[in-house]
Amino acid sequence: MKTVYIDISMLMIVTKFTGVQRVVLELGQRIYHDRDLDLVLLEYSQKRDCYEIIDTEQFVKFCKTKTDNRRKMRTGRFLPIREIGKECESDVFFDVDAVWNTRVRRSWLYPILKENHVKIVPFLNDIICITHPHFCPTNDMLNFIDFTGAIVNYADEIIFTSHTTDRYVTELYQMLHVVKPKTHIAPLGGDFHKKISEDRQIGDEIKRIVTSKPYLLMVGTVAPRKNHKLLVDAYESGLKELGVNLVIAGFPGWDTEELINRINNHPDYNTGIFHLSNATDEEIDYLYENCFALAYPSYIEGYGLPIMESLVNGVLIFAADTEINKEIAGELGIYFRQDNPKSLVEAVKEYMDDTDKYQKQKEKIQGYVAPTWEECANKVCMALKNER
Amino acid sequence: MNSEITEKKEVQTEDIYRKLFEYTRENMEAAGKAFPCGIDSFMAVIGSEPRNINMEKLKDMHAGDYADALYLSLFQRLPEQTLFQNYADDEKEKILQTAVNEPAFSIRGMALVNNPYPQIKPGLKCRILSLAAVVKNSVFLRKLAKKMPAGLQNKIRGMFT
Repeated sequence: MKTVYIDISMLMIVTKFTGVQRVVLELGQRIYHDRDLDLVLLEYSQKRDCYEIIDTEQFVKFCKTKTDNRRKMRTGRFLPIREIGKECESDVFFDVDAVWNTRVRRSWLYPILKENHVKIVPFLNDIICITHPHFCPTNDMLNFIDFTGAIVNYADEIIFTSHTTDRYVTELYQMLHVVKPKTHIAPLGGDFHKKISEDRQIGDEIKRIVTSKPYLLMVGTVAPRKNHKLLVDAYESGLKELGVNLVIAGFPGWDTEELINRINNHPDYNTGIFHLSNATDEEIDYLYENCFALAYPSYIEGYGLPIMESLVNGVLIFAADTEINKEIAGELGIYFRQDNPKSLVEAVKEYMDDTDKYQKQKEKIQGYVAPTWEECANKVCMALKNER
Repeated sequence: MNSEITEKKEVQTEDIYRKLFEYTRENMEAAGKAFPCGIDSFMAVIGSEPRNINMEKLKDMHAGDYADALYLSLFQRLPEQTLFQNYADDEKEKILQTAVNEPAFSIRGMALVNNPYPQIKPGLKCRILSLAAVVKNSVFLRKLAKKMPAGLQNKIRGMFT
């Protein structure tokens, strides 16, 4: 049996389980159930300067409830970092959490693992901090360079979530004149657990938004790389005239004060443009079910889960014509020119004016089958089991 | 022979971090933004341990780079932009004292190795706040803090970072 180590130090302190942490939970519990793999979860202990071993059974319970009983997961058993993999040469260190932001720099850790003959396998959603650093918080970006450098120097295999990220990384290796290691593609799952019940709680404001006018929905943290600005521009340059509202659902992220101010001070704020920063999962589902379409103008994504969520919900997608958006939505997406609000307005108008066309596109989407977390985990487990 | 190979490998690995840094900087500048940190500060942090920070690599740096490298090593972040703006090269001791006085220094149990200023120790406020690490590490209290207004959240965060 192969031992797989996963450092979940970030998961142990975060308060939200979206994005990277969601991936950790989905994959972690499935690796635990794989009979050929022995999962060892680790959290860096500052006090002892070594890893604390996390109770995997408690972790699996936590994956289901996501309630804050993470203290129960700590075992009080510790593993000195230099001891990892010393007993067995076939151990694997699988980095899937946002580890670049932890105390244990990979430029320090990976050489130690290498010396102990541990196979190093990182799971990469994207390398946006390297290719588009202006979209990332400074400190994240600097820490991510360290992480990427360690990957290039020491990773034995890499798992990507998309071909697009694989391509970016291939270019990076070429630029650095380093031979790229074996890679795998494991698309993220789209089998979201949707709660549909009679008694679901939907806020009055959201009910009002849904019933007032057709609206374009954008879901996800408000961040510069998501290009929400284009949506507001498009609203002003034609969507309003078409009678289409704009609903932005997501927490304000880094470097968005200017945009949030623009939205909050807009004359049509709360009548034509809505920003919901605290919508629940149920409310997001409700917004998906009733929207005219999803708008996705983002400049760059690792994956773009909202696109997949839309397809699962049978919702039309107007997306910027970027490589990653096209990879995820394929021919089910309707594309507009990147950074061109008029192009979005024209695309929306086409489907507003032609109900047949709109319905046909909806029917096309109904046949969409999302990749599942089970499939994603199977690919990951296969990669982890591979002999050197 | 073996040490020769190891040495060659180290040069090669360092070179990769260097090139990645330069590539990222080019991408940042192509987007019309200034890169926030110099290569010497960044390179000084590569391979640094989680808790024991080797000050040897920082000793010949100018004040600005020294402050950046120090904060990156200790806290994985750059100092506030204006904090050490007017510091001269002979004021590194003061920079180090300021860094050591950050509550995060004590909270993380950091130690300085090959420190040319061994007399520098965390201040009282910092040591008291390090006891509050228990509070900071409580998931319940973190969740509670997330519900507070953004301004208040930032003030609390500032105490610990």
